[in-house]
Amino acid sequence: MQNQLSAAALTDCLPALQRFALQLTRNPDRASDLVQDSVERAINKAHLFDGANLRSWLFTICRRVFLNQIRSEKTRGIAVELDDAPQSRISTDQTQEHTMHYHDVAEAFERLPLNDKVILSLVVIEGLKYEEAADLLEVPVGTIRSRLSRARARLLLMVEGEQMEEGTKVAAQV
Amino acid sequence: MNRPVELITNQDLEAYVDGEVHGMRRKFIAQRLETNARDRAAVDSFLSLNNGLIAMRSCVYRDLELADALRSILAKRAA
Repeated sequence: MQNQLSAAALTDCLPALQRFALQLTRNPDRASDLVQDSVERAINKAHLFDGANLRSWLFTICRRVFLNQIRSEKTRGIAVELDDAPQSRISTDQTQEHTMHYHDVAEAFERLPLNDKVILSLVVIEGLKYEEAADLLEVPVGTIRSRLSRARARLLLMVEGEQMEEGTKVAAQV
Repeated sequence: MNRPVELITNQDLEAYVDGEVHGMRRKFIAQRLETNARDRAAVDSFLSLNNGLIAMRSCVYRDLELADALRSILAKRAA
């Protein structure tokens, strides 16, 4: 366990998480597997937990794990033993999670102020060096660094905020 | 601070992710990331934002106001 994520707090949330997983899967066995996967993911990502609302955070993780599973199942043919599975199939979940995250980033980016979009686009998408961006925008390099940092902070807050909000809405229903 | 090289800010981590840190400083930050979970998490977040923006480039540039602004800024480079 790391940071603010304590075993006791996690254990307190398990009954609600189990109910939520059951609501999603409508199958007790699958719900238990989903809870286990979600808790494992939460422990691995404990450093990302901000300490505010563990239940919401767990629900968000659970929902994402579940979405990854059903998307994976849509493309899955017959079940095979893990040892026999092609590597591309094993990495499908991870790829889908990345794709979902990328959509979140793009959606949040749309809501940024224009100045934030410009600086992020120049450096991250167009690959300009800080010095090149500074020359083009006619500002010192230090200004580029601080503008980038503020833009990233806002973008990160929006992406993480959306994820927390999803979890809170779902938590209120269970 | 007696050893200023150990002072690492978020902006340093962002510069590291953006490939703007070189030499000993880059090596030092890389070593620090092996042991410092908070900095590692920050770098992971910045990398994931960068990857997301690059992967969704076509969506991002659907914003015509942004596309126009970038076109005029980048035109200065070509000039």
